[in-house]
Amino acid sequence: MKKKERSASEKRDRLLGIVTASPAAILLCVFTVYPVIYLIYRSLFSGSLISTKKEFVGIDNYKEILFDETFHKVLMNTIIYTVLFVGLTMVLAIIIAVWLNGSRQKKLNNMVEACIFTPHVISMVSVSIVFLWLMEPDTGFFNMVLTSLGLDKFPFLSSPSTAMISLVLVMVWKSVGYYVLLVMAALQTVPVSIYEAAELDNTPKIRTFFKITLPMISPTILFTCVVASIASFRIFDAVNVMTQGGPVDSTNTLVYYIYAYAFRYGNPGVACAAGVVLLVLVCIMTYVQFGVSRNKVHYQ
Amino acid sequence: MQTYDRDIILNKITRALNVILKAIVIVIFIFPFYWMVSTSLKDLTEALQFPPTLIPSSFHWENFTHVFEVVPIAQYFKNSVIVSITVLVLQYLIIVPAAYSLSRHEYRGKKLFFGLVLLGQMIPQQITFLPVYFMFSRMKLLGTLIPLIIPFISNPFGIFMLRQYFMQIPQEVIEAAKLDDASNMKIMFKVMMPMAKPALVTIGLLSFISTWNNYFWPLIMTSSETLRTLPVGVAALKSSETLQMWNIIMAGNVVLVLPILIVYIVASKKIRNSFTYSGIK
Repeated sequence: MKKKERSASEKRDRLLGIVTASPAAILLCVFTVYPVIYLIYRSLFSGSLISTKKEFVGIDNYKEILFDETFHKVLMNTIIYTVLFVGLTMVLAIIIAVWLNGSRQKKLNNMVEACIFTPHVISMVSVSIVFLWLMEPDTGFFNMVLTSLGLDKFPFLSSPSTAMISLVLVMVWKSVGYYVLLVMAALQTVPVSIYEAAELDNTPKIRTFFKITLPMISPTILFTCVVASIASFRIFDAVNVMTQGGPVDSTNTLVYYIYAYAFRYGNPGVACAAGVVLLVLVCIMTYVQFGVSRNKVHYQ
Repeated sequence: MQTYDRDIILNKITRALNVILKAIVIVIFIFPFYWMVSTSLKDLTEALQFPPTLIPSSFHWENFTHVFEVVPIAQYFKNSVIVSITVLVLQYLIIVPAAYSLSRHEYRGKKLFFGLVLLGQMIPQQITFLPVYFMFSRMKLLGTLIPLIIPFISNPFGIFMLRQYFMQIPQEVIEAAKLDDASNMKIMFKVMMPMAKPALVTIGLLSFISTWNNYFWPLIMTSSETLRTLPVGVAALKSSETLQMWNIIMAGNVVLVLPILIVYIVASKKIRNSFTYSGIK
């Protein structure tokens, strides 16, 4: 009798579990699983954005991007952007975090942290527009300062040779505060006793940094770099607002290319093929991320 | 004694240097916002004038009324509020039961469901947007705000985080409540929810900020002007008839930034902790 009762309640428990999970499960299937499958399927068809008519073309769309020089440039740009952004952001974040962590002006530090982090909660559109204005070639604030110092004007976003680095600088300015916080959280996990030992030995500060701090936080740093790279592949907002991929495709990146192919050139088949490339990139990096995070646990 | 004095002086210099450097860092991160506000209050000649004035010589509040006249920014604002609040509220109805189910129930397919949640966190909007666009287009829903809301209410990060919280609650607490004949609902609302309050607040803050700021998704999913949200509307200011009227553009930008900035100033520490938590997991 008792056994039967328990199994009845177990059954109810199981049923309740399924019922409570199903809304989320259905939504995730509709908005994550189905789109991924459909993206791959749709990349094998031609057709336009408006009409539902489409024609099977096999791997033609892939051939098109494979031989498209713009696409090669776009892939290169995305990689260059990612390397520059992640590199600069992480170096700056480590320097600022270690600096703040080592100085005792608590109130001031809190203010610095709050200010550095502010751009991260602000819309990318706002940040882009403000910097578009600051970097305006003729009447922008930056160039006014440069000319009043007797220096040459800097073209910023208006020249193919400087647009990418300007874009990277804006993105670093926006995101560095977030990574400062992550590095600071990692620094908190380093046991104080190690530093005390180093201090007793009169180890120079630079040496302490390279021999103790950096190795101790490096698993976290590595993990953060991978996550930041995945985020960088998706850059779109700043490109669309500030440069539209230009000048001469110098800031054209993968997501902008996908967007432009679908909504500017009205060729969703090619856009989907490029989307599959992004999907593959994200999958590879996520695989790396899992590998790295396993390491992270191992180190601790 | 001599070296002692020198140490004190050196110490003071380092401290002063530290303060100066920190002040510079603060200026670097605050100045662009100041410049935005300052430009939004100038007239066009002063905005473009050389050398630029740091403080507007007179405050032109009419820039704000002007921006409300050139574009339906009030409508954008309304849309942004509707979308952000609806996503915020509806997602709790979805993610709380889902997280509860993952942490407290045993059933076949649970692992698969958890895999779905992880997949949802991994696949970005930039991959799913085209198929979802086609789907809403076939359903003739692109003329509504629904495409901006429904895809975001199954917030997989929220499910993941809440699950962690629920799992930390000791089984004994729940057993005790069950012995008291508390129903599942009661356990949920009287025991689990209060204990998971920090997670619920964090999820809410992050969700509101990201929905409010989202530009990519509404740009794709809205074709008519009456459905645009603030980020899309303000970005379009730049290319409409206000071209080069930076004071008007900045006035629109202030409208977009202000609500989030106020939330941030009120709950700065809490928001920073939320982001840090979501970054480390």
